[in-house]
Amino acid sequence: MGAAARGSRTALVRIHGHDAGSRPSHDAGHTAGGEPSSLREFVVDEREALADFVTSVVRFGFVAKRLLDSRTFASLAAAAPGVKDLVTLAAVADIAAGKRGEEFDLLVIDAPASGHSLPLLTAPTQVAELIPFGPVATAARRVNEMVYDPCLFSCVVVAIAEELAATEALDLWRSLRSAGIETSAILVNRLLNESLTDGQRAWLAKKRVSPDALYYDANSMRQRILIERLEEESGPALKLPEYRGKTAAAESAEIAEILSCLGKSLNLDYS
Amino acid sequence: MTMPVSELLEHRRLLVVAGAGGVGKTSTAAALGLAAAQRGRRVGVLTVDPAPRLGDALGIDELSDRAQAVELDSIPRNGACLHAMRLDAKRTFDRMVERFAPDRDSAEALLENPVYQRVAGSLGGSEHYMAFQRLYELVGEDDHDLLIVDTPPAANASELFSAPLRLSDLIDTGAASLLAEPSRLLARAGSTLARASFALVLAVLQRVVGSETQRQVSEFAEMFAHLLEGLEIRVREVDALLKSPHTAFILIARPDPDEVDAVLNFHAALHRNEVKPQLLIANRLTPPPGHEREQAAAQRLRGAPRGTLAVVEHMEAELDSCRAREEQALAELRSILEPMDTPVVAIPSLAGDISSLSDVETLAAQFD
Repeated sequence: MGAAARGSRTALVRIHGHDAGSRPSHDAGHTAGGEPSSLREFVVDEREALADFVTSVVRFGFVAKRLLDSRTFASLAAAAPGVKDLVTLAAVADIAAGKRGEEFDLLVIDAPASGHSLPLLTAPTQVAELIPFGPVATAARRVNEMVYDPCLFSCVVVAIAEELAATEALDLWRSLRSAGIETSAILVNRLLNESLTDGQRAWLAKKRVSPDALYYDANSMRQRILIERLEEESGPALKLPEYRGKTAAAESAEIAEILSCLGKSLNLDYS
Repeated sequence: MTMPVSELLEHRRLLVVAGAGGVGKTSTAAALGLAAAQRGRRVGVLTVDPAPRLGDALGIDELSDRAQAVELDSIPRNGACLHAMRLDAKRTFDRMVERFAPDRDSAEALLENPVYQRVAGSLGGSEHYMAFQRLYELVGEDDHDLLIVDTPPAANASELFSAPLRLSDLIDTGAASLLAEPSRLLARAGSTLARASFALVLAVLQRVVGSETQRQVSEFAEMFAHLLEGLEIRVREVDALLKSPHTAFILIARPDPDEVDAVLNFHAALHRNEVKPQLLIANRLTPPPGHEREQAAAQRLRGAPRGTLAVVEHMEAELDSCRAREEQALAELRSILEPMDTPVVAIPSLAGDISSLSDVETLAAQFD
């Protein structure tokens, strides 16, 4: 939304529809002035992506339909490792290449949860090793040209500041880097935005007048320790405060504002 | 009132802990395991999480595919025990090959097949399935009275259940034997038109995957086809195990109004898969406010360092807002799930993350 508000042609691509069901793509968001922004939203549905891919390879519509209607093909496609991920990324590459009728300056891909992101991004390589020739291999190479070009593609790893999430974020960060995929930053979300001074903490502990404040402060301190751990490896983390209780629109507007400032430090110069 | 979890800990044979990522499944599975062991049962906890979280929390340096004992004074010395293990999907698949191959040579040939080596452990997105498969093996080994599986994070129950179905579909459709011998597709076709279009489909498949790959896949599929009968039986056995009255599904969720729909969808999808969740644990509730809150903050904080009043009021207001949201979510979940015989148990957040054996003991005490 930050990029779109600055006039950049931006697409938000939700993969697997994991948050949006099968919602169709549509215009999304408004600029600060209330006028429609240039943000478009796409939901890549893996079944539709598979159908598109088969149709593009087979070219004969009735053969593609026969194949897609076949339960045998469906079970093979569902069971074969990497196939769904490859066709999903091929659909993203199509959007990036302007093959969906629109050109974009920036695609923001809302990828699946951390444990699924690396298998998704490395699936084309694995499929290409298994099937080194033909249209599948060509599609895998085309996707990899996008994924492994640091000028085109970069990952922001998003986590909340909790032990498990931070460990997973670091694991993903390391795995992406060792796979040769560009990483920009770790973004830590839902941060508590207050903490006590040493004097306040000592006074409250001694007088036992606000266990709530000490509980809140202990969580806040723990978040800071986790962020330090993340930053040791990833460099400065991007930080977003807790937005619990605010409306989605207010949250989006504030996040867009913060990200538009932070975007410069990520070299996401989309203005 | 008896804690609903007590019945599960004392009488069930299998507990499947499921939920979205980051809700505390691994630590809850460990705590449930410890609580059951403290009740005198022989417990095994299987995690599918490749990160060393469960091992760290239970004081085990490196978890493996094989059971490792957790040493704790609070576990009675009357045969009770707590073991932890981590899923190795590839090794589990290898054991299935060894178990169901017609002979040792066939098993070795398949295990060495390059296609098998690439796909084993991920065939059909099988991490979920292999977790259940490993559970089935462990039940057969009979070393434990209670097994608890910490499932991979799943955004919805269909993700959890679709892997066995995908494998089962692969078997039902005869896809493997068709790959091994594609000409069978033509034999299946009834009419001339159907034969013509299947011939075209085969030509297209060859064009899509290339002839060398097709040869490798055919060899793999031919060997794999020999396993299908055994696998089909095993798929049914695992399915029956999951639906058995000795098994209970426990959902873990955060009590957040934004998550209620997702939790209800997960619950409904389990029902559709003929599994009735026995319990929902609403995890990490904000602790209740203390009695001192009856007094106004300004009064309580008289004499505090400068600036304390403002920051404390802000922190208390934030936590009150969290409590209100959690109450709202809990009320909604209880009103819908409890009439469907899924009790909702709220577990308060501990002072810190669960990272040591004593943290797990503290969490386990919540189930008393």
